[in-house]
Amino acid sequence: MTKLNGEKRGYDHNSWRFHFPHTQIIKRLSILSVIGLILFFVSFAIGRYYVPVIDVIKILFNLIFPLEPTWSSQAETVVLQVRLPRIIAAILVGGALAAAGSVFQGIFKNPLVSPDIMGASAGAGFGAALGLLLSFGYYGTSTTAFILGLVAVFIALVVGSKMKNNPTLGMVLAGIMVGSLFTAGVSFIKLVADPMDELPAITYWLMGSLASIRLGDLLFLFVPVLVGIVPLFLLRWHLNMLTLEDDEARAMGLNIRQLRIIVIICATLTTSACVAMSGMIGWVGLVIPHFARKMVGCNFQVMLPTSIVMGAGFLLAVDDLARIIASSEIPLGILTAFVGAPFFLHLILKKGREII
Amino acid sequence: MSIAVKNLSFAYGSHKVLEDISFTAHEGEMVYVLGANGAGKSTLFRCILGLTDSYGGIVLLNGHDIRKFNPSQLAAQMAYIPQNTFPTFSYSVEETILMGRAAFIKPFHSPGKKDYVLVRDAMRQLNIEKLAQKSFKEISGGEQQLVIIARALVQQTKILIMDEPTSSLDFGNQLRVLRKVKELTKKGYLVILSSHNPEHAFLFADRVLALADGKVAGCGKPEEVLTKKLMQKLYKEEVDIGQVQWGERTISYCLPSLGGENEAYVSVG
Repeated sequence: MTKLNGEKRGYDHNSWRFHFPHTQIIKRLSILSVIGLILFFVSFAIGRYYVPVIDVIKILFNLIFPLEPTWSSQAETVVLQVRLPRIIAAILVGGALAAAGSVFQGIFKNPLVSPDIMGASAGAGFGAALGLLLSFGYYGTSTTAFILGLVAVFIALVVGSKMKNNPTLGMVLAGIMVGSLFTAGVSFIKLVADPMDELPAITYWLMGSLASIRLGDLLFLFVPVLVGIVPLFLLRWHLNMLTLEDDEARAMGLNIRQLRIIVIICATLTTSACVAMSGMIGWVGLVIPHFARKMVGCNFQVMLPTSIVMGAGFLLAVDDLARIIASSEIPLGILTAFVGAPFFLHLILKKGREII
Repeated sequence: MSIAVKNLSFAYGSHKVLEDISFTAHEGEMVYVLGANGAGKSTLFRCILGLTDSYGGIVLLNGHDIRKFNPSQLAAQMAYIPQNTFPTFSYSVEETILMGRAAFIKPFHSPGKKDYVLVRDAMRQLNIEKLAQKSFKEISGGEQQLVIIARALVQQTKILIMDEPTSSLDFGNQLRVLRKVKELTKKGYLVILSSHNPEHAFLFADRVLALADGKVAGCGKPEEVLTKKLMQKLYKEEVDIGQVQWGERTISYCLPSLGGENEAYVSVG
């Protein structure tokens, strides 16, 4: 047999690794990382107060190795106090929501699933509304939101697992019920909230924003997001098994129920933490996994990290837009959809067949 | 290497699905489980695979009760090939086969060289190397079935349990898949498969286990077991069993009646 020139999609008989062309994936991922990196620095520069990118790099570098300041102290305050927390939060929330969306789509074997399928967002939204109504303060509100997000999923998980012959369907049904219960709760709180003061706060919060995040708050986001994402990342190859039928996976010797519960807990931790910190930011968890699959295939081993990077980049870009587009900030929940949905529609029109 | 089922019974509530099933199968055998829809074939497989343990009686794997094995130990002994799979996400053929290694890849680990080598060997064995990078969703039904068989092979078990492996395949693909499976049994695999096609049993089976209403209606060589009387019992249909000479071998076949008059065709044999 003659050797194939370039050896593109084919495989090498002498190599044990002949799966999806590595070079192609690596090329795409490097392009993605370069875009991400540029976006990261540019995000510090843009806004109402412009800071030159070179100064941004110097100011950030200065944190590790002190430099002779050639920038104004005003620029330093803007970069470190105002923009840094937002940028980190956007990266964490975007990445976390995309990761949660990816694994939930795997668990429910459905590409139309988003992280709120089991009621996490609705629960957290209710918690936040409750916290705002009862004036719990910033940390009290976030904590209530986080806890109620977990509670909502816990209820869905316990009730759903009673449906022994099809626990996945059980969890979806229970999740929808729990979600609608908490959504009704939010509506009720809005009804009784003070329309001058609390109601706008609740409404604005539910639309999602990263504007009010300060450096000190990041820990409350960082810890649960990391606790959730690290196990998912380490389990990424095994996540593929979630897409099999239960009997199939069990006959392959896998404790699929245990894996599913671990994954749900991790994904819920991250989702609740994100919603508690930044409000309801839809869309990222639903659509970013599509783009990631489009780019590198379905294998979670590569797809999950890609999805995280893309989610982080996307939310960072949208948050930049939120900052610069109008004189008053546009809530992220609105903007993610305004930016993402037309793009997705365009994609369906162009290559509908290949979307999944 | 053997599977022995002894006095197996299974019930959903008061509805008895399996009653007092006993048989033994050894390596190198291709055992066909025949029976009408709802005769309990799939339930029997679920019991043998250890996917349920709410059954009466005992299933012995090489003489040991399978209830004493944990799932990954069982997966190292026997592999399951489900009826047909419709994956939501489009994994490549190679990624699909690799999933068969799940029980042997520790949590927090990824597949390594050994796993990829096994995948390649399995693809070679079934002659599907060319499909490696294709999407599982885009290949033909027959090829999909071979991929799922390859996924079972990388479990490195010698026992394969197949639930109607040819049910959704066209005439030619059915035969091609079954020939491959027959090759495997000649290499020492023990294959237990269910089927709705008695003719295939005549062609390929070393042994037939016929189930009617959850009970064993017959067990043994296909020519001995699959009689007109048994076919009537299994499928409530009048058939004629004939024979043709095919080289050295005499092969039986069965023809259904056209109905109405219950008239059989003229027998050739």
